[in-house]
Amino acid sequence: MHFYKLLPILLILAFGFFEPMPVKANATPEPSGKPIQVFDVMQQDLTEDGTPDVAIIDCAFATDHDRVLVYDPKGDMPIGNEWNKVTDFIGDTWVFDVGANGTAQLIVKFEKEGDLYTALVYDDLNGDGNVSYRIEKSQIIITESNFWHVKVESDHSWTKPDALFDSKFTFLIDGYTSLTPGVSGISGNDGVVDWQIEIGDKDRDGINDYILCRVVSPNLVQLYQPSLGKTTILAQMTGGRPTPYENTVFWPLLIGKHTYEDYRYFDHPPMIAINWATGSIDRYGILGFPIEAGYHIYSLLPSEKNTVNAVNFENPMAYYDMANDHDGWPELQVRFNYAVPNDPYFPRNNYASKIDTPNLEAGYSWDQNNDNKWDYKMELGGNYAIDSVVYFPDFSIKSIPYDEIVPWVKNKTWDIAMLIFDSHPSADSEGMFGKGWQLGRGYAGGKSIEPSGVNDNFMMGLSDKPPLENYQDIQEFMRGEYNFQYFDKPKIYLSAFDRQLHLYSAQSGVWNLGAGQSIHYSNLDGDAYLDQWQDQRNGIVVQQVNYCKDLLIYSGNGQILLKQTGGNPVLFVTQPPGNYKEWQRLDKQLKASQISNSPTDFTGMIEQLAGVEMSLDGAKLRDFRPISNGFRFIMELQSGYSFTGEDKIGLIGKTPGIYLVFFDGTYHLQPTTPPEIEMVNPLQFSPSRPLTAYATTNIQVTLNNQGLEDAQKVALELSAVQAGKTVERMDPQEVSVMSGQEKKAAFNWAPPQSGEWEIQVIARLLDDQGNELKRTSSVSKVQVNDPEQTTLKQELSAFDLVQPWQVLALILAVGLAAALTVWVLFRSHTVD
Amino acid sequence: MNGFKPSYNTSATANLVVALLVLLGLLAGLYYVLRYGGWTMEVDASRQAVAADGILTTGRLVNARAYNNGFGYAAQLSFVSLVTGIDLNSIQLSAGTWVFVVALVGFVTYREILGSLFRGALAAFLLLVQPDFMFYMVRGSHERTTWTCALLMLFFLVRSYRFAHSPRRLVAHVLLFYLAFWGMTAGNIFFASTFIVAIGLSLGIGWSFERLFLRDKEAEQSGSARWRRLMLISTTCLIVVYVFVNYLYQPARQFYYVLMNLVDKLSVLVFGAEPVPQVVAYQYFGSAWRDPLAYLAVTGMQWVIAASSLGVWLWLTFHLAKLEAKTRFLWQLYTSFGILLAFSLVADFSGFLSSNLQLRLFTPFAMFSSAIVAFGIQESWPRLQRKFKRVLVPAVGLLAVFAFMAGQVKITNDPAIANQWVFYSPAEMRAGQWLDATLKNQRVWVDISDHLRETFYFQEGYVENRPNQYENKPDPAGYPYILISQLTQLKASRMGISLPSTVGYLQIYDNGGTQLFHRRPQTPYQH
Repeated sequence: MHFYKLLPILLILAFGFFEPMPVKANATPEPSGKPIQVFDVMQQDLTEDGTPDVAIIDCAFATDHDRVLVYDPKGDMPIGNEWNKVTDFIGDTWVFDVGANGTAQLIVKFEKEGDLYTALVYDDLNGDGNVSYRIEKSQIIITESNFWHVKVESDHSWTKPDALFDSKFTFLIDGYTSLTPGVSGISGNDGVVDWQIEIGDKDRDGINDYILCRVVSPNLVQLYQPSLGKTTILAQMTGGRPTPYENTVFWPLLIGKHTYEDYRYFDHPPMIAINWATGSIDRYGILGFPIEAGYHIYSLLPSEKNTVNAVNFENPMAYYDMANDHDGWPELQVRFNYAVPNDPYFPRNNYASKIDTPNLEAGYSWDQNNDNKWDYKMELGGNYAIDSVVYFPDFSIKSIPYDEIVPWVKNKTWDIAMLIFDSHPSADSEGMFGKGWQLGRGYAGGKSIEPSGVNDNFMMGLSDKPPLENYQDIQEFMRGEYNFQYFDKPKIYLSAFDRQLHLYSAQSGVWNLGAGQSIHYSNLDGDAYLDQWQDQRNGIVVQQVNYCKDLLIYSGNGQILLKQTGGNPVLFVTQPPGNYKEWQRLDKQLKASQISNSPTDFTGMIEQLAGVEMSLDGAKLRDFRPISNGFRFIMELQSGYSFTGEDKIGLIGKTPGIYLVFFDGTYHLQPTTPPEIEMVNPLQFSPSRPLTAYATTNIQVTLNNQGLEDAQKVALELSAVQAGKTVERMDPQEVSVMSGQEKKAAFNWAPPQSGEWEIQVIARLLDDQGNELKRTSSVSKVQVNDPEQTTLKQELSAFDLVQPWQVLALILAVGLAAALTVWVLFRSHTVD
Repeated sequence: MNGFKPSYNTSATANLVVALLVLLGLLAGLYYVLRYGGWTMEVDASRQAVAADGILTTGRLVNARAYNNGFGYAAQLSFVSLVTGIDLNSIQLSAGTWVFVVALVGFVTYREILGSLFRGALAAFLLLVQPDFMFYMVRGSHERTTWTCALLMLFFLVRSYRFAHSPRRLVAHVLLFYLAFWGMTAGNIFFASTFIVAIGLSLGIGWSFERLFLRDKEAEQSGSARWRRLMLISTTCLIVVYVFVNYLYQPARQFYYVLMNLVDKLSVLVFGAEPVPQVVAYQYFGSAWRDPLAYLAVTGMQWVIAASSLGVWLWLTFHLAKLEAKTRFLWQLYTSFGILLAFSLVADFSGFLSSNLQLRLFTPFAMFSSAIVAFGIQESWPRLQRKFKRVLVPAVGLLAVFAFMAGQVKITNDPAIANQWVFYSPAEMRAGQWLDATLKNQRVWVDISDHLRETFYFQEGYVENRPNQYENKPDPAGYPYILISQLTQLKASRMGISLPSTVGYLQIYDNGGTQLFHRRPQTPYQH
């Protein structure tokens, strides 16, 4: 996973909102620390006024013997020996002493400010494991810091029944923990609130269902930090009540540090988790990640109250219980990666903030067999702006309402589409995110390439071609297919040949089967369906199947197989499932068409299709390609070849050799001739000659191929030579020249000096391994003129901005003043 | 050795010297302003003018176009504009004339340090004759006020030692010293921190020297008091720097985020290194000047001064024990800046700093090299033979006059010798206006350097969201528009730079001196 992608996750984890998805949900939360036991409650009168000022609770919440001191500066502490009767959460200050050794690991001051119930939380900030304080009469003076670290506000009393569900909570954080990437040195504990977390009820049904976390300090709001999520929103859509933590430490929000892996957000109520060993706050807010039905937004842009905020990046990340099984795990996940127009964090290159085109990546992952692992993902890209508004009680964001996300994705026409299939699927809290292709992540050379250049460059108009080179391979056991000129709604189809779901209109694809074996897919005729399957071992094609004009043409293992199928190459075309019904229907369709052949059992797949067959043994096929009304390929007939079935090609009487086979309704067979590359002279210069030194000119080279075989690889080299020694070599290019066709290639050249130059062009025909088979070359002479030079008058007048005499007068005046100064200086020296 | 009691000559000669220095500064500034008829612009002038316009437009020091390293110069510009009613651009374009203030402040400071009118005036003249110092004084950068404040700091500091027994005057000088430092800090926080680090370093050098070589107890006692004070000053000033960066001026914190390693961050604070898109100083030398000899001809005097200062410094080093306090202080400061300059040169050449840091220590170094050379001339003058003086005076005088005139040619990057021109043409300006009026949110390649881009931004003034983005990257592949002017073409030809190819582009604008080309879209994402 790219670091850029990791940082937001780390940040959110730091907030304690969620954790990576485990394999399976566990409905029962783990105990939050040790069970609390209260051994004894004593009281002391520090001010000797006859009323107790402090309650001493001997208990066990972190070790076998801990102590909590509850100070009552108000002087209204009742006398008693039950902790919940002699203490309160309005005005009392609670000091938590782990190990009962006279130190404090946490201090919480409870207050009431108007209608709000507040708790000011002080933890260890200097790393000594204690919160420093002293007592003056019954008052606690905290010396650890002048400022609280976290302040929690609630509109209901902490002890009110259901307060944990329906109170509006606000967490204010001043400073942050070491887990906050990139901002540890900026958001110090300085009396300025850095973060605000609000937990509220969006649909007003009495149950909290959203969290807004945002930076509020000017420092952080203005900070340019690509890894810092400035606005995070989490929302649940199920409306379920959270399960209270079982082992809260007196205050209903206070729990010990524990593992949170099994939680989903909103499983449990708001909390502050303390690492009692270090005396520091571990997490606060809401724990858990992700959710079965709900969404979150993670934006790098700040947000404000009482306005409509534009939010970017993960806006939204939505989860759906597509199987309707309420098992805690989503079966559909939609991850948007959104860049607003002129986004300061997009593209991730020098053009950040400079392009007013929005960009949207939608990752649409689904779990087809409900094993909590993601099987398929459609990766979709378009330069769409998100303008719809999602409303919250006192703020709004530009996003897509939860219920509209799936139809929105399915009904949009997308510029770029990919389908990724994982044959060894795994769990991931963000859909099929951790592996496989994304719009911004490809795979080449055995590693992920990020940014891959699709959304950062190609979709921003910064490059002329999509970065195909980054999408020719994929992680083991994954299959990826793409179309970089999709312009269609997201669609998939089931191939009648291999019985796999493929991307409708895919241009190409690859299935990495591991151990150096892969299947490469091509769409040679450019229609909606893949028509070439190549089984490659370590890059060498060992067998392939082509589909064209109702014919399946297999070659491999010294055999060529031609089968007239006559049937539809596609079993069905559909959109990715978006609800239970569609998901079920697709499941049934997949099961109904399932075959047991391995992915590379091409002949087995052909066998399961009905049709007339012709089989050649002792023959090889290469250079298959569609032509206007059929196809053509090169066939090598080896000595002793034989065939079965009807001789449609016309093999009878043909001796072993290399033949061109082309089909235009009927087969034609003729002995082939090798590629014959010729250079068409003269070279074309643009702008036309004469050339000028330093001015870039475009040199166009034209090649043609008079042979019957295609020239698959032609290396073109262009160099400019002056006086036999100055050599300028242009970047070489590799082109292919089809039989009977012309190919043009262009080179840019800026002559570094004037004079006569020789332009040498060499075209080298290469075989598959890059060995030179044949070469052709040409030499042309060109004259390069000197560039325009400035004249003295232009220089003096700065191109008519001033008159030359004015400049001369000015400089003379300066010189005169300097001369006078020098003279007076030497004179003054004599009197100094 | 001459005494350090000032021997100011209050005669007509003194007044004449001051008047001539003012005139010289004024004329040098005027030359810069008028050489291209007011059609001059460079990066700093543009950015400071836009920052000042931001202050006037928003009423806030911190705005979208604020100068990250300080608000002082922009605030000064906007203040003058508000008070006089003159538009910002006019003030900025004519601000070079203020260089006479630098001349005056330099004179009084050197007079105070060197203890005589002649030395003060000579040192000020030697400062003005150095084009690489003067360039930063005449252009529309904060450096004019920043280094003026630095000179003032030195003046108040040195002068305050005279009032050790006059508390009121001492306090007044101390307050003025910190006021000058505040002016420097507000102008550029990192130059200020560098200056203080240099003073701190000089303190260390002086302290070490006294401990090692001085045996005089009385001197040691008075020295200790002086070291304590310098240490107090350095510490206080560094606190001011810290407070400014962390509490007073939020944009200054950018360096925390822009520079990722500690060495770079320290370099900004210690060496006044400036984050730049690309370090160009040394490789730039080869292409920026038409002929290296021409460059040497117009800058020769400053290298002579630098070399001479090294000689005088060496001589002083061997006579340190005999020097009086102020001269030793000057020696310490020269040594300190010399060390920093040498280190910065090594850093630049060895490249151990990140590629976006550019060191700028020649300017403060020139301030001390001038003073030390003036001291050396005064010291050596009586030892020269009369006959030799008769020849030397007119020869050096003529040379100095030529150097001063040649310096103006260098400062203005005159097209006769330089390839990086600071002027622009009306045709370019009209094209810029057309671009802003016609295109929106487009990326336009303009010029082979940032000159034309900054010119356009200068003309635009303060806008939160600029209508278009102008860039000068060597590879304009991402730019759908390319603007090529006659000046750009000629500059590029001189520098042997190929302009971006416009083959296959559509020419959509031509005003005779400037053409705009639009790339034919190759994908649906290109417009």
